Amino acid sequence: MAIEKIDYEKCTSCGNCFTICPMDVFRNMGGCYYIAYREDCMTCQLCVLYCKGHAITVGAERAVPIVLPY
Amino acid sequence: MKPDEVVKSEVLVIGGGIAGAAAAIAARKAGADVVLVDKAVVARSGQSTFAAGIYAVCFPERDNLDDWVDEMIDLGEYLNDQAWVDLLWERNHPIAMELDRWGAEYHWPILERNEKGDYVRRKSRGHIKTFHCIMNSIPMMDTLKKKALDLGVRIVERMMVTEFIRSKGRVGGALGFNPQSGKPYVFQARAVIAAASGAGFKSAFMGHKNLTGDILAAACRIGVTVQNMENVCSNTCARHMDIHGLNLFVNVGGKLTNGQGEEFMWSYHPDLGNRGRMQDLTLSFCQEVEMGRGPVFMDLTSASKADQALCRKILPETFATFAAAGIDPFSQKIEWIPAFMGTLNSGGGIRINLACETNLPGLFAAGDITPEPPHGTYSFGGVNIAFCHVSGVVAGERAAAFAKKEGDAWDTRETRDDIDSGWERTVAPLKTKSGVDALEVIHHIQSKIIPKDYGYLRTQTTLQEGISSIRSIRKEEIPRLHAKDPHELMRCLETRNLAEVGELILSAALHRKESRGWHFRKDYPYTDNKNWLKWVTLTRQGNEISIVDISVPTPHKAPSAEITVPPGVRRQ
Repeated sequence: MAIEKIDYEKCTSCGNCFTICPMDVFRNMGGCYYIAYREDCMTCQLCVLYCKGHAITVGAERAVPIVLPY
Repeated sequence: MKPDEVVKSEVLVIGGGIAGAAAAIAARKAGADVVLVDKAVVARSGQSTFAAGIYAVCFPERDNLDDWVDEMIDLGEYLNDQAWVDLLWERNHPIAMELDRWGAEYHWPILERNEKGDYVRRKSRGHIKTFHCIMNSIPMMDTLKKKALDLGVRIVERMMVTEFIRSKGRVGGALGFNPQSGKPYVFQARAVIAAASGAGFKSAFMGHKNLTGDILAAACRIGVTVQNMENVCSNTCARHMDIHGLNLFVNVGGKLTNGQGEEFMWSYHPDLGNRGRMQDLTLSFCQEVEMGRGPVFMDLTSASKADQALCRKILPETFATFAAAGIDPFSQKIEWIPAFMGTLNSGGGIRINLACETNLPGLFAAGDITPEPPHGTYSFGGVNIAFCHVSGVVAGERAAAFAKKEGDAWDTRETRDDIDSGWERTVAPLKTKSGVDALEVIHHIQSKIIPKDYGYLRTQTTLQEGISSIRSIRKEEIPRLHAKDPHELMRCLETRNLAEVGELILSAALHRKESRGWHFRKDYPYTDNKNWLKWVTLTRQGNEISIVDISVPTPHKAPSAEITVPPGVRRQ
């Protein structure tokens, strides 16, 4: 669902996810970046596209249910 | 925490999409000291980053401007500000070419060219005699950010602006905080440009869920007038995932089919069919479902290999999402729905004149936070980016001139009230010991704005019930929002702002007793040019909303009939 995980075997701590995320989903603790607000992920894939270590998985499913027109 | 960090500038620009970045550059080029702030990151948030590849450019040497003006007014259903139509196409080509040159200087190609080096031009949503260029959005935004920094614009990111500050009868600054650190800021400026887009209600579609009408709502709280709020915009999107790219998809031969396998759009818009405007498409989807002929599908299986490659290049985020879902859109049909976008795109917003001035001195507005006045209800694809760019440049130039002429407005004694009361409103959710969750309240707001009875096929009964529910949410739930940290505070304030904008949308929709654009009234299912060739404007005055209708001037062209058929009516 939405952002799923950061693979710390691949993470280079580049911080691009933290810097780029339009929804402010990530936090940084001593150079370790983690998913702090998964519920706000809008599956825009920017963190995936800019992750230097190809460490982030973002699923296609929305993080929270959205009311649809019908 | 108290707002003790003060950032001074001549021009403050709020919002780091194309309108805000272009405004900051234009103001800087005009000699002003400029600060540009964004709730997230300049060039990586808002709709410009995700603007699925189309930019309308009218080339003076190859296009007939009269045709473009004519088509724009016809398709915009005569709600266009026709003087703004002239201004848009007067400024559009030179600044689009300048932006493309800047991109080339930085080695970030923006507008696509063919093998001969000519600009690629296509027809997508709505285009009859007009065209759009194909644009690479992220390089475009990277170029604007770099140009702004090269020119000396100071950028402050992760800055949620929450309230405006007034001084000497002018807007003279703003309050904000960093949603990561919680650090509060006061911005002092001689002129302020609101360029932070509108309210998308965190609904379906790619990339707009941080556009929650924060600056629109803050402007309304100090008496700024808004216009066309009943015309809520929708794009279209996959039912089960948030993607973008409709223009390109229909351009490469995408077909919309209903539950009976019929390519139904030709029955609603015999000339444009699948390439109908967004209001044609989304209202028709709702009608088909209401008639029991849903669901609707997007069928891209006939796209050529070359067009498939173009889609993948221009829409990297969409194709990453398709890949995550294990879907190949070129080999299977996808269920497709209206993607509610509220005041985004050509939806309502802050009323501006040709100088991008609002009704409050010192406050200018540009881009999607306005009703996009030349667009009317919505004319053709690529106008959004073109207008955001032009209005950004105009606002930047005018705000810089205003700042030079009018000088400093800041008076410490006069601003104290706005700072103290604004800050109290800003931090209120941190002070509640427990309360309701913002995500839950957002869902309640969505349920009174987005469903087809409130957002698409409306009646007096549904709208009255919707207004009553939104008012009750504002009264009962918003004061109980609770935040544990600065990020949650941002989410709570977004929720409050959505409720405030939602009330304005439904109030305008109840007022307009005809159908035009996205505003379809089942109890008034026709366009009434005799009584409603008017802009509906709303201004908050304390707890009341004052509504004033303004007749639309028609210097170029007036509607040919008093009563016409609106979008979303099946004609055969």
